[in-house]
Amino acid sequence: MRSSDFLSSTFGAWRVKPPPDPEFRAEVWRRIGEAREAAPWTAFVRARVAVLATAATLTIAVSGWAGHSLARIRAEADRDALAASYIAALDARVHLKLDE
Amino acid sequence: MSEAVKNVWIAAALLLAIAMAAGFAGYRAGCDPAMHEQACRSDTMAWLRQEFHLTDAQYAAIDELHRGYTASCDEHCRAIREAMQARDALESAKPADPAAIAAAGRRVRELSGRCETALLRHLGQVAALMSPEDGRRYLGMMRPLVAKFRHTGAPDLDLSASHAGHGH
Repeated sequence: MRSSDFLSSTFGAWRVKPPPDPEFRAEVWRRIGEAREAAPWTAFVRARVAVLATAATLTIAVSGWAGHSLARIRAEADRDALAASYIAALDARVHLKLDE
Repeated sequence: MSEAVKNVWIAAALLLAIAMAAGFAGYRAGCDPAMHEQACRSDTMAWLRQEFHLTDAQYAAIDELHRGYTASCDEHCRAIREAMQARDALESAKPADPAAIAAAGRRVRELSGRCETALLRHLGQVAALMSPEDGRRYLGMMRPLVAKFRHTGAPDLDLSASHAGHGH
């Protein structure tokens, strides 16, 4: 008998019967979770691109609107002050504080 | 700190930076630095020029009109002050004369009314020198301020800057 025939028959007769591992599935998920946690920034973003894009859009919209509103309030206050100052310069009653 | 938590913090920091940048951009887009500068300097004529889109010719004509009105304003100021002094003298006199005090009060109100009428007429003349749309907006802004005085009295303004050369 040649050695290759011997090996073939040996491997052919070999049956692996590992003991069932009840933790196998849980272990697989644990390792997947670990791999996820260790994901780099790009993978983190790729996995949550919709959420992050929505958050960025909302942030831009709300912050831009808030900044614009604040500027308009300040501009209105400036306008009111200038108009009051302008009319005060023309109104003799203001100079005399006529209400007193 | 785990990698996931770190990534969340990075995302939050980026969103904060985006918020600040967007807020600043929105503020810059909405603000009017020229008007703010005019308000700080109480430069009402420069504001008038910008706010109501005055041409050089319109500005010169309105400036001249204002200068002309100053004499009238001074006259109103003098007349009202004298009437007020007369009223105050009557009020402090002993014995008090209620009829005379009431008449003096009426005189002050009458002069005040004349001042208001003259001012409104002047504002109308100024508005007429502007484009129709700006003139309407000008009157819409100024008339309530004149009327407001009637209801609330003099506004609490620091007039020293804007009236330095006004002669009152």
